Amino acid sequence: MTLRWLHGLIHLHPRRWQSRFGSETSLLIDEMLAEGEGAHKIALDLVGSALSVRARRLTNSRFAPPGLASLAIVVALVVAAMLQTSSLQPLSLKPGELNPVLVREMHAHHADHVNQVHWSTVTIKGARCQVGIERDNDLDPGGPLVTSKVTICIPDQHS
Amino acid sequence: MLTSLAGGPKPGYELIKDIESFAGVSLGPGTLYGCIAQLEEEGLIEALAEEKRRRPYGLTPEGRKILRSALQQSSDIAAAGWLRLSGSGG
Repeated sequence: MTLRWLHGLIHLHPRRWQSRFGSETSLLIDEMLAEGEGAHKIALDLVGSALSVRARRLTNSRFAPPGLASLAIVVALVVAAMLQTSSLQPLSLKPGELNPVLVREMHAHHADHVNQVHWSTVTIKGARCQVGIERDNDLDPGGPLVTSKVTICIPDQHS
Repeated sequence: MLTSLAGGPKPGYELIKDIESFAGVSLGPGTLYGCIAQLEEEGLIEALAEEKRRRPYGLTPEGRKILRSALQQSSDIAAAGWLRLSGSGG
């Protein structure tokens, strides 16, 4: 049985490592699965290995750094994988449409401001876009953001 | 891994099974190739010609030397441990 997502974890490793050991690792995964090894165990090992290899490169050390540094690298790997996945999807945003992730990010950055439009420039699929956020509840300036107006201006060629 | 390769060159899966049989440690693919990369970089093992899509790895003379030294050290530590245990009535 071949699990594509399991083989995909090889791509968490640095490119040089992939080109040297990628095909061998892929074959080994198939052999281990055929022998009844658990996919989750293999997956954890691959993630751990990617973490270790990258940490070694970052710190130029034989051993992966413990604790927070390792956690930070895991988070970075997951975010990188998510970004890679999302970049494969076609851009469907049009002017006026909301991108939940973008909106959440903008809220986080501008939650303290009230009744002001805050414009930020972001890059979506290589295009520079203007994102404006207007918070329109001024009842409780220090409280959570209740309502807001978000405008995303995307150049014509990407709309 | 050096101990396993002392018995002759082996490809990835055979290495895993062999190490499991004498050390009781089950390596995953990432750990295995991470270890291979490091030992190869240190010149202790080398990749041999591919056979049926499988690439065997073998000990280099330097790897053999390091293994001898490491086994001797382990053996000395084990001997000291046994001596102390027997001396303390354990």
